Amino acid sequence: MMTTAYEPVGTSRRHTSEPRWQPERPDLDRSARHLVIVHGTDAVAVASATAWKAEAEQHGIAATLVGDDPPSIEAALAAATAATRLMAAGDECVLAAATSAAERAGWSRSEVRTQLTHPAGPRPVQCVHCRTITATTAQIDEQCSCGGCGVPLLIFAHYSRRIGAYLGFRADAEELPA
Amino acid sequence: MTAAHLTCTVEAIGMPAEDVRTLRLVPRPGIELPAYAPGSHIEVQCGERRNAYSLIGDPRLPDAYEISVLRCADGDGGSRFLHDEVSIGAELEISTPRSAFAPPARAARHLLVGGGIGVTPFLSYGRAFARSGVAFELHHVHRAGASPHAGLAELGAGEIVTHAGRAAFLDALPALLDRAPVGTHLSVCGPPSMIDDVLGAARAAGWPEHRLHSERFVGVDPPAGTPFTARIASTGEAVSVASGTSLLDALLDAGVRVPHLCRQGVCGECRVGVRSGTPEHHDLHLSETERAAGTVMMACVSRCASGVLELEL
Repeated sequence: MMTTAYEPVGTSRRHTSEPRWQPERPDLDRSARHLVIVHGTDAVAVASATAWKAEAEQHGIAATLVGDDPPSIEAALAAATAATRLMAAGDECVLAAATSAAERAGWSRSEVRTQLTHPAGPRPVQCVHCRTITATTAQIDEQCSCGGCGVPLLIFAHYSRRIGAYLGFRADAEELPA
Repeated sequence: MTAAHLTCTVEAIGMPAEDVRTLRLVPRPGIELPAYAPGSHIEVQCGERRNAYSLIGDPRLPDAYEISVLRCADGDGGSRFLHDEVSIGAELEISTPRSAFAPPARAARHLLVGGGIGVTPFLSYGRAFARSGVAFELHHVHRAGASPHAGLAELGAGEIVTHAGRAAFLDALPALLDRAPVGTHLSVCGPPSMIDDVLGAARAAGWPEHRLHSERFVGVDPPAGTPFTARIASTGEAVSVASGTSLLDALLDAGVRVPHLCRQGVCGECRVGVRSGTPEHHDLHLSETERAAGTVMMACVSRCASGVLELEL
């Protein structure tokens, strides 16, 4: 198997679609009437979710805490109204699950605020062959094994906001027998 | 920017509501009418006046342009001309369609509010949404005692609700705003005070600004203001603008060609670039960002806060 890191040719990483998640805790949008708060399990994420909920309630904004599993996120977003905003704190997998579900449900990016609480945490990679999304701590240009079909995936410097994952494709495709 | 002009014949006339006349305009033989974005309008030469009217038909492959004209007894005479002096077979000079109120493309759902004749842009929205399968509800607010616009009955899609009187509608509005799912965009057209009421209620209900859209048919009266000087950047010519004269009229009187239409700060046609000096904005067209930048202004109603304006003309 080839293990050489992929060397991008002719493109700059600064011009890719990689999201620029920020570690700072964003403020609430106080014009909201409802909040959906998605959070991961690390201490910083839990602290942010708790702080947002407390601040929301102080301002008469109803807040719903949602864990980080995609079905709960999608159910909470589907029930949201035009006066709802989304806050998300967690690792990249949590933020990707929350923001991509919002994107698919018609939310605008300005209605969503995020905080990356665990920069060294896992990132989501979608296998272009079987469509499974795998959480991995491997970096862009490195490889991981697809959790769905087991092929070795090269993690490419492209992120889909709609799917909520980096693009992964079979690293050794050119080495396979015809 | 200037639209092409067409000569059309009035093929049919309808009365979809009290004091409202619908004209169906067909082109001369062999001429194909351009398709248009939902919410587009055409200008119609109404005797001495030139008025803008929303197109109410199906925007895709139109074989006629249909407009719906409210008779304004105390208006400038354009609507009276179309009501009183135009009959089937008459020829009218019109512009090709202009799009100034297209539906927001990313909306998952539309909440549309049309007050009185302000329902007209939403009739073409409704036809386009019916074709594309986009979900919408259309609320038409009409005078108590008068009938709603008959064009609504032809849409055959969406949820159509009529409200007799503004008070009744404003009572129902908070519940509509609260239950609208995220992804909904609100568009409103009608009398200025109704637009203000509806947008104010939406903001109070927690709707974000980028989901709010409006089109005004009635603009502002140009304020008299203080005198100032407009300098034409290309020629260096100085044009004096007296109190009580609009910048647009002063420029036209001086022989400077400026495209214009509504003269009420609404349509955006007379947009002029500002190279230096501070404009004093009175229009309803520019965004807050454009207003603050001060590099563009509407010549029909806006004036000068710095004595001299240098214009990109």
